[in-house]
Formats: sequence, C-alpha cells, structure tokens
Amino acid sequence: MRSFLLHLKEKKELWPYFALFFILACIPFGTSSRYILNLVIYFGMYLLLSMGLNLMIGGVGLFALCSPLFFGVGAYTSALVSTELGFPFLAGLVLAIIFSAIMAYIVGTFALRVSYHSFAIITLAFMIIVQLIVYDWVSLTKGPMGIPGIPRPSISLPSIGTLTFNTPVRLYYLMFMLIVISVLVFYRIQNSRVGRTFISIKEDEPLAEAYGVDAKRYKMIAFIIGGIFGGIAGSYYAHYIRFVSPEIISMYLLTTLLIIVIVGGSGYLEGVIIGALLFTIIPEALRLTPELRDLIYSIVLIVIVIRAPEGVYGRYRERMRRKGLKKKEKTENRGEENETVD
Amino acid sequence: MDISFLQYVVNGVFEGSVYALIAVGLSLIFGVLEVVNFAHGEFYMLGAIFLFIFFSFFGVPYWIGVLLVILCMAAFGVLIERLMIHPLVGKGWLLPIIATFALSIGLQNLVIVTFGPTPKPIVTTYTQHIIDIAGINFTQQRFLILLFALGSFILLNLFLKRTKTGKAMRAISQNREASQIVGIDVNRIYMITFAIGSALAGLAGSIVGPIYVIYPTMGVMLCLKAFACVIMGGFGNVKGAIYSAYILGIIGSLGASFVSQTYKDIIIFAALIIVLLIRPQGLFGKKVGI
Amino acid sequence: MKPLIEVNNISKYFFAVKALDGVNLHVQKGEILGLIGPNGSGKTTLFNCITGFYTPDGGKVYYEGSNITGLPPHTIAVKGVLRTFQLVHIFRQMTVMDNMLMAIQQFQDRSVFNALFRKNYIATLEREAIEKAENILDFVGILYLKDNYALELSYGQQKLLEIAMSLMPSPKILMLDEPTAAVNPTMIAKIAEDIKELNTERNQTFFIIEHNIDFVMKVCDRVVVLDHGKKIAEGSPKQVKENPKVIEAYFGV
Repeated sequence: MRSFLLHLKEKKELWPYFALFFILACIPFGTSSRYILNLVIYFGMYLLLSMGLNLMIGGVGLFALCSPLFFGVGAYTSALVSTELGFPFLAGLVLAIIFSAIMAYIVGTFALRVSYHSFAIITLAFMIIVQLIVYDWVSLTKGPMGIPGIPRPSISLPSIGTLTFNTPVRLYYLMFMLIVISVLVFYRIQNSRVGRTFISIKEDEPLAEAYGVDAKRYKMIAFIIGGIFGGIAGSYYAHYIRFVSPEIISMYLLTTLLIIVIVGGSGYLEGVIIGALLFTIIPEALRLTPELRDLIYSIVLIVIVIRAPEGVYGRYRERMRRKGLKKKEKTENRGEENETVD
Repeated sequence: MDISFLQYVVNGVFEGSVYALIAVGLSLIFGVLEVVNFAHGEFYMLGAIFLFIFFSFFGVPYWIGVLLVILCMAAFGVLIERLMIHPLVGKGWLLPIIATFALSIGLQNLVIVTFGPTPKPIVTTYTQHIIDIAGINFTQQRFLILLFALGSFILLNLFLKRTKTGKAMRAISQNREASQIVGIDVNRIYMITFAIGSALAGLAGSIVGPIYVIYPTMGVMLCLKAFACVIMGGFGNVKGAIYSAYILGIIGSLGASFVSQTYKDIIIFAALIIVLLIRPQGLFGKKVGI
Repeated sequence: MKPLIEVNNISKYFFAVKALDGVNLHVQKGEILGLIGPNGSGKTTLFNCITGFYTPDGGKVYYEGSNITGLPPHTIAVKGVLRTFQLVHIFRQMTVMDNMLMAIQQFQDRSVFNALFRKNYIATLEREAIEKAENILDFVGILYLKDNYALELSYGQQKLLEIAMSLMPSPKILMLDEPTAAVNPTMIAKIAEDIKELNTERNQTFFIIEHNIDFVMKVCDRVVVLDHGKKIAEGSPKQVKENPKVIEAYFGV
C-alpha cells in the first residue's frame, strides 16, 4: 500500500535513502576490516538480486524462481568476455546486462504464456536446465571446473588514466555505486506511473486490461528489468570473487532471495532493504552449515507465509495505514452525512 | 523390430509409471485444493527414506514395509495439510506455492541434516531377479512399478467414481462453493485428498527406491518432470497427467538412448516447452474437474 | 447513422455449451441500451466478446465501423470502449486517487520510457488528471475519500468509485455489467440519476446489463433481451416488458 505520486513528490521523501547512502559511504572510514567490507558487498549483491525478484513477485505478482539464473548469466558473460576476449570491465557489464535481458526475454516468452502456477515451475525448470547445460558445455563454460583468473574491474578514460578496483576499499565503493544507482532506479520505477501499472496488474489483471493496460507487455518488462538487476549482480560477483562455476546458479541462493523478499515485505523497496540486511547479517552471526541454514529459512518462510504474508515492512505499512485511518475518523465524523449507504 | 528400440520403450513405460504416480497426486491435490504442492517430490523421497528405515534398518519384511510407508505418508500428508495448507486455502494462489516450495527445501535439508547426504542403497529380492521376455529384460522390481501404478490408477478411478468421498472430491474440484452449499465437508475432503496424494508419492518412493540409491534430493528432478506431466496434461486433469506421464517417459527414454544420457532431462523439458508453444493449455486441454 | 457498436452474428461456445448463438445487435451513439435476460443467458459473455476478453467463435464485432473482433482487451479499451465487471472491481491496495489516475493513465501516455525518464512531462499529465479526478469524485460524491485506500471504503462507496473511475478516460461508450447489483435503493436512484444526467448533458453512450427491471424501465432508451444465448426481443422498455416471449423466458419453467 502506497501512493504513486512520485512525479509530484518532493525530494523530502528520499531522505531515509540518502541517510542510508551516507552511512554506507562512511563505513570504510570507520573500519578497515575486510570482513565488514566483504559483508556489505554481499549485502549489496543480495540487495540487487532481491530487488529484481521483488519486482517480479511484489511488483507484477509473478512467482519467478529463476533469479539465480540471471545471476549466472551475468557472471559467466563477464567472466568469459574478460578472460577469453580481453574486454574491459564496463564492456563486460554492458554485455552482462544485454545477455541477462535476452535470457529473461527467452524465459519470459515461454513462462508468461501459461498460468501463474505453471509460471513458477517453468522458471524453475529453465534454471535447472541452464545449469545442466553450463555443466555440460565444457568447451564454452569449462564445465564444473569453472573459469578462474577473472581480472579485477578497471575503467580506462582516455586522457585521465586507468582506475583499477583492486583494493577492498575500491571494490567496496564500486559496489556502493551500483547500490545507489539501482536503489534510485528501483525507487523511481516503484513510485511512478509504471509502478502503479505493475501493481494494478498484480491486484486485478482483468480490471487493468479493461483500463488499457497491456498486461503481457508490462509483465515482460518487469521480468526483464528483474533479470537485468540479477545480471549486474552477477557481473560484479565475477570480478570480485574472480572465479565462476556452475554452482553459483544455486537453490541456496534462491531460498535466500525468497526469504529476503517475503520476510522483508514483498512489493516494497524498503522491505527488500530490510530483508537483505537481516539475511546477510543473521547467517554470519549464527555460522550455520548451509543445510541447517536453509532448513531454518524454510521454517521461517512457512511461518511468515501463514502468519504475516505481507512481511515485516508490509506489517508496518498496514499499521501506519490503520493509524492514519483512525485519526481521519476522529476529525471527519461530519463526512458520514454524505453517505447514503449500508 | 529392433530389440533395443523396444527395450527403450519398455524402460520408458516403467519411467512413465513413476512419473504418473507422482503426477496423479499432484493433479488431485491441485484439482481439489487448488494448491500446487512443490514438495511432492519430497514426499516421494520420504517414502523411500521410510522404507529404508523399516526394511533395511529394522528388518521388517518388504511388503509390510511398503504398507507401513503408505500409512506413514498418508498420516504425514494429513499433518502437512492441517498445519500448512489448510490455513492458506482460499488466500490466493501465491501463498500456498511459497509455502510448499519452502516445505520442499526444508524437507530436503532436514533429511540431509539428520541422515547425511550420502546415498544409500536398498536391496530387495526383486532387484536381484531379472525377467526376460523375447530379449527385453528388466528386473522384477521395475515390473512392480508398472503393476502398482496401474493398480493404483484403477483403484483410484473406482474410488473417484463409486465412493461417496471420491464423488465429493470430484464435486469440489468442479465447484467448491456449490459443494459446500450441498453439505460436503470440504475440510475433511481436503485432508483425505492430501493423504491420498502423499500416499501415492510415498508408494512410488518405496517401490522405486530399491532400484536406484536413495538420497535427499532424489525427488527434485522427478517432481519437475511430474509437473511437466501435469502441465502437459492440463492442470487438474488427472487422466491427462497419466497419459502425459507415459508419453514423456517414453520420449525421455528414447531421447536418452539416441541423443545422450545427460540431455535426457533437457529433452523431456524441451518436449514440454514445445507442447506449451503450440497449446498453452496442455495437450488434453482444461477439463473441468478431475 | 452508423452505429457505434455493431455485433454481427456472434457465437461463442464453451466445450459443448452454446453460450451465444448468432446474436445481432447494435448500439447507437448517445443512447442508453439495456441488456436483460435470465441468468445464464449470455449477457456477460456478450460483453466479454465485444470488449476482447473472449474471442468469439463466430461472427464479428464492429466499433466505429472498424472490425475489432478478437483484438485484445487493452487495445479495445484504449479505443474508447470501457467496461465494468459484475460485483465491485477496483484496485483495493491503492488509494482512491491512485485508482482514478490508474483509470486514465493508459489513455494519456502509455510509454514506459516517459514514465521513468521524463518526470516533468508526466507530472504535468498527472496534475491535469488529478484535477479531472477531483471533479468526477465530486460529481459522484466521494471527493472527501480521495486519500483513503480503496479497501477502506464501504461497498456502496466502492461502487461509486467504480463509476467514477469509468468516467475518467471519457470513454466513447460505457458498458456497465449489473451496476445496481447488491446496492440499496437510495444508491440505485442516485446511479440512475447520474447516468441520465451524463447522457443528456454529455451525450454519453451507455450499454448496461441489468437484472433490476425498474431500473431498466427508468433509465434505458432501448432494450435487448437474451435467452439461452439468443436474442429474443428488442425494442423500447415498454414494448419489451409486455412481450410474451420475454415473460416466458423469465418466468416459464
């Protein structure tokens, strides 16, 4: 529940985000701990991926299970073009975006034709199939051995020189920039006419169609944008970890993303940020084996779905709405005269 | 006719039987409760695990073990239905899918955490004996799958057509509200449907388990293929799911032999995707009701 | 005068059931046409065929002279054909004002690019739309609720919102599916009044499915009657009410 009047909003609405950016920007000054910088970088990658997933689930109501697929496509694209073709980082990033968009288009073309139940299954099937292909097509992807030796990202400007991101702090700020750009983009999408259209499709698709919305087209757009977010995260990952293998297209990742989106609050950018924070920090604090962690995640997910499906931020939003309603009822009891109904 | 070709077809029929056993449960549950049970593959896996516990661990005779598995899985199905599914029925399509998906992940990891990830074999007498008909051979265990599958389908058909509960299930799948108005105890039927679906999956696990090794993620690919059968057959159409299961089983088997073993799964999904391109509603359309 | 909408020999089957069987009708510009018939006679099916939600199995639909048969609903909507649904359908999780803006935004500018990158241009459109929305909400009587979320409104208020939304894009024809269903008599009178006012003052064309015969008598210029997918009568409300075939369809058997 929100209002979509971005085009008329004042910049004041953005201050919580600027506060967040400020905090993130200051962290490297407060600590030189690689551990913490690494943690925030992972937060960033999870954030990017979950924003994409959130756009699909919470934006247009598509339960997509293929986010890790776009992550993989982005990662492998960057890995291959930088190691095999010697392309610079930015070119790799752009190509990662293009290829994840293409992959999203292909998956979407099949998946969007079918009912929403089948949609989930088809997206999952695509993810598993592509993972199988990546394992198998050794000549291209080096199969299970993966692609090592991916160079650090570097940007060359003609007269100014080359900036190589080869220290933890530099890599941190690269991710920071990606976070800022994506959050702002997502914010604009969410609170604009486009966001309104997406929610209308999720709410009541026939009604939206009756008011001129080409639901298929907008769903595909949301899906592709979601895929692009994933591809960007993948591209960064390739240059950060400097090694990619088929394992990155994993169910562990999918489970984590789902829990971030659902527990944080599907449909809200704020919810995704909260969720990403929670589920980057908690596993680190608890130090569980992946299986135990996923077992706990599953239980939490089930409980949340049954008790509080709107997620943490959704609950908060609902409470705010009710408070606002009570206040309005107190001051507008006169308005009831106009009513002639039940 | 080329013997090896027939052999592959026969293998495909056996595979199709397994898909069908899982797909029927999925289709029933969807038809009656309108819930997609992502964890159905894990019910199959649990069936195999329970059999392992009863048969290999406790030394219970095989057939008693299978019976126990059916009972256990039915009870488990009721438990899951009451705890997780029942609160979510009617709250849209998204929540049950998320919950069953989480259940699927949870069950897989639960088994890994308690039993460890190493695969375990189950050895029964039937896996040892091979039947040979005109040059086509298969173990007795495989033949049992076909027997049990066909037997289950016939029994299920009788159940749905002749018994009051079965008819109630069909009624609900066609029109939930009307069924309630007419006085059908919808909640009870949900439990029974889920129990039947789980029991079928568990049965499949207990018969197929001895053929290959059992391991925590053995249900994942199978579940996806079962989904392919359900989608291909038209969601909620049980007969369609069974036909699709055998079609996909044979296609998969032939594909594996002529193309490559690794690409077998891909071929099955490619078949599904081709069907969806031509007929998004599935081969057998959307029948109203089971 | 060429009719606004022309339905030629439309048929629609669902498996073996013939929901529509060779239906012919037309809607003139500026008229209020009523569509009545017993339950299951195919009224909503006909609406769906005209507005693109179903593709007819036979026959053609024309709008302003051009063939719109089988076009997707959003294309037909943008051409100026707006329909409502049985029972109230609004966007519950949005505010009243957002509902109104949603009703018009696809008719003003549908470009995703503009919505994302040309903020000022879209802001201008939004401001104009808000002004129009406030006028319409005022006309309908729920302006004071404009910042409430749609799910907070009572059933009757939601009904009014639904009507208000349908007026936002200034459609050439407004197709209402049972607008008075489950509505109390005072509200029904208000709706009837509003419809007549829009028709006389702005020449708004209406095509209305209704079960409430009094309403139809009061509001409609002309009535078409369906039974079992076939048109069995057509004429002025009085003519239709006294038509023996119609009486039999409603009360016989």
